Amino acid sequence: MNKITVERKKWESSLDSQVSYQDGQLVIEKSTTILFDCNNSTQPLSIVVKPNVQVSLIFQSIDTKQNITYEISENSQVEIQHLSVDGSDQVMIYLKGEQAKVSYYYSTINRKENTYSITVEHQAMKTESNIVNHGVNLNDNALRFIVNGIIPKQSIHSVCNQDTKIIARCANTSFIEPNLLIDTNEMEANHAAYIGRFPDSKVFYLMSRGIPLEKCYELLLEGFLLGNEKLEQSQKKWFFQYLKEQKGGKQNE
Amino acid sequence: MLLELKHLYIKLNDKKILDDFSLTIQPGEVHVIMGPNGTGKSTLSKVIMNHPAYHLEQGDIVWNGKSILSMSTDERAKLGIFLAMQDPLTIEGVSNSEFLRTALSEKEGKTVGIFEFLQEMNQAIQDLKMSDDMLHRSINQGFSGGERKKNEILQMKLLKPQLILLDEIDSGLDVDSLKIVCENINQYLNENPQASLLIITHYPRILDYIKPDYVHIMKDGKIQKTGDLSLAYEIEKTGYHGINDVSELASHE
Ligand SMILES: Nc1ncnc2c1ncn2[C@@H]1O[C@H](COP(=O)(O)OP(=O)(O)O)[C@@H](O)[C@H]1O
Ligand SMILES: [Mg+2]
Repeated sequence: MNKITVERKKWESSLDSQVSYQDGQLVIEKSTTILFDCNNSTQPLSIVVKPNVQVSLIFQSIDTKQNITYEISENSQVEIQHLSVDGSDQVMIYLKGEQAKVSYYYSTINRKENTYSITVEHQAMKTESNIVNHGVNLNDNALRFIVNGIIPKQSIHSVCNQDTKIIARCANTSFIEPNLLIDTNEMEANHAAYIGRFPDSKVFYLMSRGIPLEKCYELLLEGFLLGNEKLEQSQKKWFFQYLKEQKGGKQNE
Repeated sequence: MLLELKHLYIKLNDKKILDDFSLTIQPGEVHVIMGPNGTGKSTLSKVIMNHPAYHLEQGDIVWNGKSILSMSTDERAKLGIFLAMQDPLTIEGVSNSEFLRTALSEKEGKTVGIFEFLQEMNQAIQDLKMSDDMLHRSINQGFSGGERKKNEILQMKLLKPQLILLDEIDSGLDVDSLKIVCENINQYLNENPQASLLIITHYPRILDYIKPDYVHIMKDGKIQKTGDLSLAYEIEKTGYHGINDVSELASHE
């Protein structure tokens, strides 16, 4: 698999011929999958997707503050699974050509103060974005999500779906700031936002089968963050260890 | 004595829902509670399982001679009380297999091996004529009303309770599915003659398949009348409104 490792400012890659890296820009010409491993990085990333390709990107990132920009050309589809631990990244997505489509699943485990922002600009007709942001805030630090959707006049028949949720068990100062800037009626836009605990009814259902509270939370958190079927077991395991770590810490409090 | 509900009182939004409710269930008995919608039947079942939204104001719940009021929901489940819910919830991201294997492992007190688990599940899935792929799907996600109810009975078969509470199990089930569900319950009762059953229902339809020892009519927060199967059919003909008068008449005699 194509792999890019970014540590601080150091950048290493093993890429096949479908992908080229030049002048800080990753250019994807053909359908492919790329795994990004970002650690403690502030390195900007620019990803250009040429027309008529299908791209799947997986991020595993810790302690990152990266500007990540996507330019997606006509008839291309990009699916991103972004697993993040303490991320303050700024993501900017331009849907540049007709029928360009992006699905962005961002899941984060938050232990410090972080602000994550994602903006999708629909620059052409019949473009589609599905943005799912799920965050778990493990302590009293703030997790902030800023989610922007921009649909100008010319981008008719576009679809912009945003679903943002933060689960916080402790008293928290987290917030979600959704902005939909829409200049046409001929489109579909949805934004759902939720900050809070898991509903009592769900916890009750699991507990009524003899599962203790802590274990119920583990199941619910895992489902909330890693519900996406397309992730591999090793990736899920990598991510989940950060929840377990915290749980051990909590019991000692 | 298996379960004793002693003088239970509950208010919700200043409305009395349970008002001196008492009932005793012995091992091996089948009880039915019938009552009009909104009487508090589901409330009763949730109180028995300690749902956080339903706080008992007075009364006691006794299991095999000991009060269980201080026990949490999972602890009550581990005693062997199982509630098949009226409206089983969807829990996104948590697969049935993960949920059920966790529940079974909790019951057994050790991690149940995947093979052992699958063997048991596959038999139960066949018995209930459910589709094989349900294990890999999220809990009740995309399930029809009937499939959700079957999933409750699947969990019952897996957890092997001593007391089964069925809250409106027949709602959402077509005739064929109701038959399958009831066959599975009857088989369970045959194999476990000490197991008890409390059927909560609005309609007597289910009593064509499962024969009760006692039929109770609930109204105004308590049991107004107790009889045998014939009482259920009488209610079917005359409705619930006459019940208070009937008991008054009886007491005047
Ligand atoms: N969580 C709740 N908060 C407030 N009122 C409730 C709640 N649950 C049920 N109720 C009310 O309590 C009454 C009994 O409800 P329920 O137990 O569901 O009745 P049944 O199952 O007999 O139809 C109804 O009036 C219902 O609206
Ligand atoms: Mg009910």
